[in-house]
Amino acid sequence: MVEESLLVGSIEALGTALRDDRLTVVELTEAYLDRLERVGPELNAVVTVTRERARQQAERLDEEFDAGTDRGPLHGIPFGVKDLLSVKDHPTTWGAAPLQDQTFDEDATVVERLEAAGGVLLGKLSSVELAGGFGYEQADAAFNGPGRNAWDPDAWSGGSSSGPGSAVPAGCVGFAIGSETWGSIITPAGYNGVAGHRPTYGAVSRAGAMALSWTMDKIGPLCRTARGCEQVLEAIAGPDPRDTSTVDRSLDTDPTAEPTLGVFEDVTADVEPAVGSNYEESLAVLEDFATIEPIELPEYPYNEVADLLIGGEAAAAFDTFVEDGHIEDLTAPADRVGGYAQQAIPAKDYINAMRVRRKLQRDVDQLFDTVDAILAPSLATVAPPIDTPFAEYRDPHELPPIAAAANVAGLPGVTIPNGFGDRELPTGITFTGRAFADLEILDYAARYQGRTDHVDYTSRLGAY
Amino acid sequence: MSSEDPDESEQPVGTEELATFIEAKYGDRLDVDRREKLREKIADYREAGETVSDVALENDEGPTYDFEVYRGDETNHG
Repeated sequence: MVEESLLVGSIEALGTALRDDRLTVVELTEAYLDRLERVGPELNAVVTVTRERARQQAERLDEEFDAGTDRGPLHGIPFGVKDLLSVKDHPTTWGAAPLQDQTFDEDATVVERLEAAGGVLLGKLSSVELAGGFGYEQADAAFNGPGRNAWDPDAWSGGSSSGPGSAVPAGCVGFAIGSETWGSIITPAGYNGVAGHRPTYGAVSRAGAMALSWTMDKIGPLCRTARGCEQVLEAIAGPDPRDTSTVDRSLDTDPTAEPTLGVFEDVTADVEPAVGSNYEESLAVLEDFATIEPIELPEYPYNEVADLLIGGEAAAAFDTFVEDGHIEDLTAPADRVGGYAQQAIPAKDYINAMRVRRKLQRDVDQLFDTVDAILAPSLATVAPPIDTPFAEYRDPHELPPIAAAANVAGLPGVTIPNGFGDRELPTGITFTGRAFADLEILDYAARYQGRTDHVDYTSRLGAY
Repeated sequence: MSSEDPDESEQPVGTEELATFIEAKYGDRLDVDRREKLREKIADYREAGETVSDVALENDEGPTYDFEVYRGDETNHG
């Protein structure tokens, strides 16, 4: 019998329990499978459970432990992946009703690498349809219903990695893999009070993943700790001949002992009050080991650039999908229009966005000549109620466009929970780093997390 | 949408023409409400395009994508 509290433990804690012979990989896997099958549907967090594959991998990994073979920190750790990553012999739906029977012959590179590192694939987790690429405006935007927040099922889980966002705090998986084109890891991780890492563009292979925007898509982990994200990143990062956007460059591994962290003035002016006060308290904690310095984001139309890049590329990526009429079977009304509107983006606007992108990425990079990372609240609000249109809930609130800037420039980010706000829902703080400084910002986030005790995931075990 | 629609004059230039282009191809799928929403979304993209065009760019400031030549016997790319 697996002690239930272990299911919301860190990757480190799970690994220690396995190596201390307190449980086997098969026992841990079965416990997660049972919980994923029971709780996953309540949260609309799961699409497919890969039970047989998980059992076979778990048995192999137990045999290896018995024989003295240890693949490293992920050996025996069960995980789930967003359902836009291909897994052979199972559907890969991209969250879209017309693609519920879609299959691929190969596993995504990230799945291959995680299994090679000793991970146990439990299943495919929910995604907003087409990763939100057509501009959804409501939580109910996937064929299996709206992603429900692990802290309140009447609140949205966030998107587009909605299943990874809620499955991690609910103890349905040891960790999860999501994807971000513009906010799709940071948002569900922030709304659900977990650590979410958006890697540097090109650091992690997208082979086998749905393409929304070839120049902006990133694949990354959601975990209960920043250290967990680090361990997963080390397993999945690296060049891949199957994805020519990947770069053959190792990640920086030299975090500063006393980093300088950049902050924007008036960053909390238009956020929910609790988001602002939690952020201010976070800065006080960070001053334990860091220097806080004011910075200014260079003036650029970041949101507009992101809109045009994603819209222009999505129009091409989903040209056949729209042409064939599958767009008509999507769930969210806005998505049934957005795919058409993207086809009307003039080439000049897309190319000019790419020209501005080159200019802004140099200017944003210069910020890191004086700071080691940039801080900001992860989101301006807590998660919206599940039935409230996004605009109605979120539009009165605003953050500087650091999320758009970071995504357009391909910079890494990590969100960490920093308290609770309205309706007792989590808030988060995000560290944004220089390209390839992933491990550095994860280290700063982990040091912050080590000084705080904001989230008790065991409360989620009783809730479901 | 008729040319006398008061909202049309507030749309960025080209919105109506681009919406007409989409309707020429997919109009049989779009009811009145969706045509209106289509215009809103196209107007958003047009506004974004105009905002981005306001950024000063020199002629030699090219886009940030790099085309690579390809030879199957000299590349690791699959």
